[in-house]
Amino acid sequence: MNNKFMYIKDLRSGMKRLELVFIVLETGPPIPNQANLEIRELKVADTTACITATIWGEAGGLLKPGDIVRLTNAYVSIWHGCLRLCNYKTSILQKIDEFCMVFNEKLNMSDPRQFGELLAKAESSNSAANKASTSQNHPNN
Amino acid sequence: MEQVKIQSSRLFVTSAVENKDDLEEKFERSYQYVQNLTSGLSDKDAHDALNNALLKEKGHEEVSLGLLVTILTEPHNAVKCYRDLTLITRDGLGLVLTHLSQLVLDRYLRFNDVVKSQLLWLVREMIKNSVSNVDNLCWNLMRHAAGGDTSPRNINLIESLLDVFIEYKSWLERFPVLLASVVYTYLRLLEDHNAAYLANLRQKEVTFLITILREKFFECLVIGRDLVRLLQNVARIPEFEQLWRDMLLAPKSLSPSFNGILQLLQTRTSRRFLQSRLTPEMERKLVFLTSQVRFGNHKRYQEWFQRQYLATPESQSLRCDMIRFIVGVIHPTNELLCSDIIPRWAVIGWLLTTCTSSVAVSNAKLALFYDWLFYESEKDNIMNIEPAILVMHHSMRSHPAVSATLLDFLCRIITNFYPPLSDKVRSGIFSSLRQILDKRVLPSLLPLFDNAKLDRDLRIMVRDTFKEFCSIQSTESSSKMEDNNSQAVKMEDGEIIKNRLNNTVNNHIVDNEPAFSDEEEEMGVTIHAPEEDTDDDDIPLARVRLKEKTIEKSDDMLLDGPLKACISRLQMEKVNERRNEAMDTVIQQILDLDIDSESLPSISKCLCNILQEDIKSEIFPKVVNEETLLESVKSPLFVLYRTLFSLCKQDSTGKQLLLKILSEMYSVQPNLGYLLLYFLKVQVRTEHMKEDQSKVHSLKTSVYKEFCHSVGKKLDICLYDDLNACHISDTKLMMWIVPDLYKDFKQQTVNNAQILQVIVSVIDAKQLQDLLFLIMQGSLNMFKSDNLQSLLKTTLTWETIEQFFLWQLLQAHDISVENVVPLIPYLDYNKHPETLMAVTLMLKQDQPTAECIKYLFSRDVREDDAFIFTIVKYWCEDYIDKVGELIFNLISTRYPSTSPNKRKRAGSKSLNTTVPSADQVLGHLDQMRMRFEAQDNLTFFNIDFLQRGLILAQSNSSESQKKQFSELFALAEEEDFTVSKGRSQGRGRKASGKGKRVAAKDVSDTSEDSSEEEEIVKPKQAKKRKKVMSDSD
Repeated sequence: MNNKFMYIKDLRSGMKRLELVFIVLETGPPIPNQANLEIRELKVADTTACITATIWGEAGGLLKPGDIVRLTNAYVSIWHGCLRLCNYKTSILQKIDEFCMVFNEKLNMSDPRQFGELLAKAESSNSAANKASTSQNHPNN
Repeated sequence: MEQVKIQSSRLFVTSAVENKDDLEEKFERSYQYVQNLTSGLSDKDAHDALNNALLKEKGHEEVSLGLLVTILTEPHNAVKCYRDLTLITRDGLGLVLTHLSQLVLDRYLRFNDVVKSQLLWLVREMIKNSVSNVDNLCWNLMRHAAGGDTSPRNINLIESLLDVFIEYKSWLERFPVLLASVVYTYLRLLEDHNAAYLANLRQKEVTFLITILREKFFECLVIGRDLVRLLQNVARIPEFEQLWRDMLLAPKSLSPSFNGILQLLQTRTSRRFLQSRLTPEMERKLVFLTSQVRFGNHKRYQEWFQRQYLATPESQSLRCDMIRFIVGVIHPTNELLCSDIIPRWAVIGWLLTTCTSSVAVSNAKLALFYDWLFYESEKDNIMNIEPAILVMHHSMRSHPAVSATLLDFLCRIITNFYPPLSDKVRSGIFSSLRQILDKRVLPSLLPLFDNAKLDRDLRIMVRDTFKEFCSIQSTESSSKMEDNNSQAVKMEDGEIIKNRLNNTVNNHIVDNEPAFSDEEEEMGVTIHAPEEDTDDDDIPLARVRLKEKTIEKSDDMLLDGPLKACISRLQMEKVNERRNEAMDTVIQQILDLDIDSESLPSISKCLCNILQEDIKSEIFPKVVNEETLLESVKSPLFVLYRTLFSLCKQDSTGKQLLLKILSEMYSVQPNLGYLLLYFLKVQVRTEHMKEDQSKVHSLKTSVYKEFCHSVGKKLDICLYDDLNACHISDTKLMMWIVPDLYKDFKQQTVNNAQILQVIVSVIDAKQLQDLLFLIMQGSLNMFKSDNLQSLLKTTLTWETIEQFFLWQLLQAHDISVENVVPLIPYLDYNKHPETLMAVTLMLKQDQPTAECIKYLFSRDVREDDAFIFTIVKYWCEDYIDKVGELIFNLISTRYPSTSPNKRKRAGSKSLNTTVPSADQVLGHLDQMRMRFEAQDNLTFFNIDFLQRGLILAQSNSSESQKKQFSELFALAEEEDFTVSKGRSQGRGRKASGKGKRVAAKDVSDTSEDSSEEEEIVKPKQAKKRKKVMSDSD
C-alpha cells in the first residue's frame, strides 16, 4: 500500500501513511485554533471521489483551486462526524501540476450519508462475494 | 526538508509546495559537477579539466548542461562559460539547444527573473554566432509572449524579443516560417498595446511590422486569412491604413505575386499560427478540457481557466485567439465526437457569453465565422465551420440570445465585411451551409433559421438572406434526392418513420420531383414551402409536423374523382377570387358527395397544405375598418369558415362534416382556432346590421363551442390554446379579439390566470392603455371579486412587468380594498414586491379599517419588512387616533379573558377567521417601535389607545413575553407623563419624542411591572372605552 497511490473512494477512518494524488477544488481561509497553527480545509478530489482535507501548516495556504498535488504520509480520521484527509507535520505536500486532471465530485466521502451508503454497499458486496466464494469452495471441498 | 529544497532551486521561482522534479535535479547535478571541476582553478586549468571530463561517459552532456545552468544563473560568469561552451561543444550546441528549447516551452513562466534575462542574452549570443536551430528556440520563447496580458513581465519579454528581432533582422529573414510567425505574433500583440505608457513599444512594433510586411510581403502571404483578420484590428493606425490602401488598390506593389486580399482570404491559415497565439500552458489546458473533461463536469475547469487567463479587461482580446485555436486546431476524432466529452461548441459558447467587452465580443464572433466567409469545400475543412453552426443550434433552447446575435452577425457580415467582396462572402457562407447539410452536421437549418424564439425582424432578415435554406424543399434539394429520403427519416421521431413507411416512397418522389427540376421558377408556386412558421413554441416539433405534411402531400393522389379535380384546381389557382371559387366547389363536393370518414384526414391534410400560406400570412389589417376587415377574410380558408357559419345558422347536418375536417386540420395548424375567433368577430361585426344582434352573438359563441366540441377540448382550454397560439403569431390580432373573449366567454375567461398571463406577457404600454380604456368605458370586464385572491396568488410568480400590467388592469376595475387585503399575510416583502407595492398604493387611498389592521398584523414578523410600518406611519398623518383605536381593539381581543364582556364577544367572533396571535401583534408593535425609534420619533406610542393597549398587553403577558417585549412595554410605563403629553400633541409628530424616550427608559430600569400603575390607568381606560365603543359599534 505504501508505494501505491490510494484512491479517495477507498479511504476509511484510521488509515495511515497514505500517498495520494488529488486536484484541489476549493480552498478555505485559515481556521482559528488554540495551537496558533495554520489549519485550512480544502476540498480535494481524484478520479474516484472527493473529500475534505484538513491541512496543517503553511503549505495549505499556498495551494489554489486547480492545483494537482501529491500528498505523502497522510492519514484519515473522522472529525465532527465527517471523514477527513489529514496531514502530519512530516507529510509532504507537493504541487506537481495544475488543471489537467479529471475528478469525480459526485461521491463526497466527507458527506456522512454518502459515506454510509458506500460502506453499506461495500459490506453487502463483500458478504455476497464471501458467500459466492464459500459456495464455490464448498463443492471443491 | 521542504525548506532545503526551495533554496537550492537555481532556475525557478518556487514555493514550499513546489519541489524539484527529475529534470531539475539533472540540471542541478550537472551544475554541481561543473562547479566541482572548475572551482578554484585558473581559466586555463579549468578549461583542461572540462576537456578531460568530456572523455567520460555522458561527460559531454554533464558539462554542457552545467555550463548552460551557469550561464542562465550567474550573469558575471556568463561570458566565460559561454566561451567554454562553444569551445567544448561537439554538435554545434545542438544538445544544449534541444534541452533549452524544451525547458523554455515547458517552464519559461517559472524561470526566475535572472534566468529570464540571461536567456535573452544567450539567444542574442547564439544568433550572433549563427548557431543553428536558434529559430526554433525563438519560436518557443515567443509563444510565452502572451496576448491579452500587459503585466510588466510579459511586456518585458515582448519588448526584449522584439529588440532581438529588430537587431538581427537579416538573421530573421533567413527563416521564412519564423518571420511569418513573428509578424503574426506582433500584429496580434500590437492590438493590446493601446495604453499611453506602452506608446514607445507600440511605435517600435508598428515600425518593425510595417517594414517587414512591406519588404517581405510574399513571405507573409503564407499566414493566410488570419493575417487579414489581424490587420483589420490594427487598421486604424496610420501606417497600417496606408498598408491597407496598398493592399486593396495596388496589391502588386507589395509583391508581384499578390493579386489582392481575396487571395489571402481564400488561404486557410496554418494551424501553426493559430496555435502560436496561445501559451503552451493555455494550449495544454484547452486540449485537456476538450479531450478529457465530460460535458457537465466542465464548470470548475472553466472557472479556473477564466480566473487565471480571462479575468482582466485587457485579457478579453485573448478570446479570439482561443476561438481561432479551437476552430482551427482542435479537431476531435469521430470517437471523441460521439463521446460525452465537452464539445467544442460548448467551450466556444462559454467564451462568447462570459466576455466582458463588446469590442472583444464582436471580434470573437468574427473569429468564429472567419472560415465561413470564403469557405471552399475542396480547400477548407468542415471542422472549421462546425463549431459556429452548433453554437447557434444548441444555444437556441437555453440561450436564444446567443443564437440570435450570431445569426444577426452572420446576416450582416455578408454585406459589411467588405462590400466589393460581398458576393464572395455570400457564396462562402452559402457553401458552408450547404456543406453543413451535406455532411449532416445538422439535418436541417430550419429549426435555427425560422425559430419563434428569434424576434420578428431578425427572422425576416434571416429569411431574406438565406432564402435557399428557409424552405424545406430547397434544403432537401441541396443533397441527393434518394439519399435525402432515407436520411431525413433518421432525424425525426418514430411517428414520422411510420408515416413514411405507410406512404409509398415512390409516390413521394414522383410527386416532388418536378419541383426540383426548375427550382427558381417553382419556388414561388410551391404550396408547401412555408414562408414563416409561428405556430408553435417548440419549433423542432413544428418542423417535424411540416415535414410530415410535405410527405403526406402524396395523399391527394389517393383521392379520386371530382374532388381531386377541385382540389388540384384550388392548388393551381393563384388569384384569390378564383381560389375562393375553387374552395367553394371543394366544400360543395365534400358536402354533396357521401364521403367516407376514412378519407377525411387526407382531405384535411391536403387542405392544410394548400392553405398553409394563407394561414401564415398577415391577416389582421394595418388599418382597422369595415372594409379592411372584410378584405382580410377573403381567402379560401375563410370561405370554409363562412360556410360553416351559415351551416350553423341553418343548423344543417353538413356542419358536422366540416367541423370534422376543421378539427383534423387544427391538429396540424393550431392557428386555425384563433382565426376562427377572428373570423366570427369580423362576421358578426359586418352582419349585425342586417339581423337581430343578440341572435348573431349567440350564434357566434355557439360556432366556436361546437368547434371546441369537435376538437375534443374543453372550452376554457381551447380558448387558452388559441389565445396562446395567437399571442405568438400576431399580438395585434389577439388584442382585437380579447375584449370579445371576455364578453362572449365570461365564465371561462374572467379571473382566468392562464389567459390573463398570455395577454399581459405580450402587450405593450399602448395596448395596455387600450385595454384600460375599454375597462373604464365599461366594455371590458376581466375580473370579478369572487376568487380574486386565488388569482392574485397565482400571479405572484409572474414576471415583474406582467404583474405591473395586471395591477393596472385590476385598478381600472372597481376592485375594492377588501377583496385584496386577505392577500396581505401571504405577501413576502422580498419575493413579492410588485404585488406588495400595488397593495400598499391601494391601502394608501383608503382609510384604516379593522379588517386591514387584522390582516396587516397577521403577517409574519420580520426585521427586514417595512410594510406595516410604512402603512401605519402613512395613515398616522390623517387617522392617527383611528389607527390607535384599531390597534387597541386588536390587542384587547387578543386577551378575551380580561376584556369587558362586549369586547369578549367581538373578540371571539373575529377569532373565527385568520387573526394574529398576541405575539404577532406585539412583535409588529416592537418592530414599529424600533423603526420609529430609529427616526427619533415615538409619538405614535404616546397616543392614549396605544398606551392603554400596551398596558393591557403587558398585564396579560407571560413572563417570557414581558421579557421579550420589555422595551416595548417600557414605553407605556410613565403613565401620567405620556397621557397628558400624548393627548395634547395629538397628531403632531414633530414634537420631541426624545425626552419621553429617556424618561421611559429610566422607568424600565427600575420597575418591571406594577399592579399599582395598572390600577391608576383603569379609570381612564373605562372612560375612553365608552367612546371607542360608540365609534366602532
